[in-house]
Amino acid sequence: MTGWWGRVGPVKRAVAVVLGLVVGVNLLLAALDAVVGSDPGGPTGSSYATGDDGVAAWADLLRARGVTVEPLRRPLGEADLPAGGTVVVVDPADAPTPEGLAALADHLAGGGRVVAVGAAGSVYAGALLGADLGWQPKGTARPTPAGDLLAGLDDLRGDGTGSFATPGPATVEAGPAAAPVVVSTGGLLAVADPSLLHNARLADGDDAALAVVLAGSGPVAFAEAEHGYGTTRGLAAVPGPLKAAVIGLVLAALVGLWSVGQRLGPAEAVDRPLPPPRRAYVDALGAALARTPDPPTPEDTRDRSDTLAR
Amino acid sequence: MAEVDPGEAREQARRVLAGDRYQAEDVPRPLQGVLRWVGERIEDVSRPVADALGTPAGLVIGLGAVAVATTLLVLALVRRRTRVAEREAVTRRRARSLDPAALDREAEAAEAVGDLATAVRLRFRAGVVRLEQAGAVPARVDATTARLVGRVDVPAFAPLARAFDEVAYGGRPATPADVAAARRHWPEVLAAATAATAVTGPHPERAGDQTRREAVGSDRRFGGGVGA
Repeated sequence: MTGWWGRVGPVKRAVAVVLGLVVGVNLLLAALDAVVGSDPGGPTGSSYATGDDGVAAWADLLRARGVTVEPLRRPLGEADLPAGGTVVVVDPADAPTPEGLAALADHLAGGGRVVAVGAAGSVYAGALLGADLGWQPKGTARPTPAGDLLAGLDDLRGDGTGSFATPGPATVEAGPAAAPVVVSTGGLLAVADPSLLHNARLADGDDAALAVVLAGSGPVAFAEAEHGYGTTRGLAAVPGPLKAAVIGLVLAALVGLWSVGQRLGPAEAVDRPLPPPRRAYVDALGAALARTPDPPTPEDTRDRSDTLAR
Repeated sequence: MAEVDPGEAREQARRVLAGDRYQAEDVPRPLQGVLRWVGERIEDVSRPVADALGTPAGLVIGLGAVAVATTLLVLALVRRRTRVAEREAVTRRRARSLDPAALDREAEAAEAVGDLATAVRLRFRAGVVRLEQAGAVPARVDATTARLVGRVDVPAFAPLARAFDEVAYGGRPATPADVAAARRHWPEVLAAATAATAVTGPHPERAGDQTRREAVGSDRRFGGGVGA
């Protein structure tokens, strides 16, 4: 490294120093952020999400009130739904599956409750009802409680980001009647405007009470597999391509270290090996000659020629 | 009928939302703006590339480009390392190059203690190094005494070379006459060879052959020629 540093020019040195400072300062700040910082966030509608559009505060509020809350990390069609309890589906990223809808229908038939929230949640509600609720991305920001379920609440505050145009036979729980925001039928509750239950609004008006009423007395299960959460955690949850990329980077780093590191084994000779001294060659040749028989004398050759001539 | 006190629920929600995990605890990010700008510029470049690599043909072309770039980079690194290694080898050899005067002094010292064979060998080596420096003979690793005799057209050189061969390789004990002949005839050989070189020019193999000359003079393992 010292040799390299000594060989490079001043411009390269300056660039290297600047890059090193940028990377170093950012690593330091990232480490500081990891230790003392926090950044609320998470998928929209997830009970893990602490950002403005998450519902983690809803889950924590229920826990604070002694309600058993469980995130479901298996798909609804495979999960064990809380018998007699409430299943909450808030703006799921995944479309409903036949297995999931069948599980929710069985849950409703067994006396349980299903709360479907938002545009994507209304798809689940419509499928369970067998009729499209006509979700639309507009509505009142101050829905008026109308049914018995929400009696006693009179200050709901949302962003007016959803309502049902065709509630059909469903009971309007929070109006206006022409475009209700909360409807119910049996154990199924549908909320068109998810902002009523988001973290950003939960402490506004009577929204917290709405959240508590919708959840019921529990236990409550929030559907999380439909937000991308799975049952695997830790390293097992890392996607395969990312694992392959990390393994490749590690291998590249190892090869790089190997190439710049000290080589193992005997030291390399500075010069090529030279032939042995001429004296050794002469000795070897002399030894070889000493092992050979004496060459024939001229008399031997003449006698042999005479013999052949006869 | 809702059996929930809205005020109580609201207060509980406030306490929940006042928790640490709902609050952003930002640390200073003095380079955030710069890095974001750099990231956006990189994205401007990388997005079309990523789009192009999304197609099979683009992927093949991209992999080919990576392979070519990697090959060129490796070749450049290998050439650079080779050049550096050669420079370092030359530097090492120069550091170990022989000084004819020093060889002469060593020869005199050997003669003083009666080691005549060493004296003969060292004087011959000093003479050959001087011949090389004068350009009278090529500096070659494979130089042999016989080849030198063919190169140096000075009558006094052949007896010196023969004596050297007999002492160094033939095992003949060196005599005071050998030492005296070397001391007497080497200046004569050098003067004649240098004069001849001044007329004909340096030997063509000598030009740019500093490394080999030094190798001949410095390597004591060289037993097949003048370095023995």
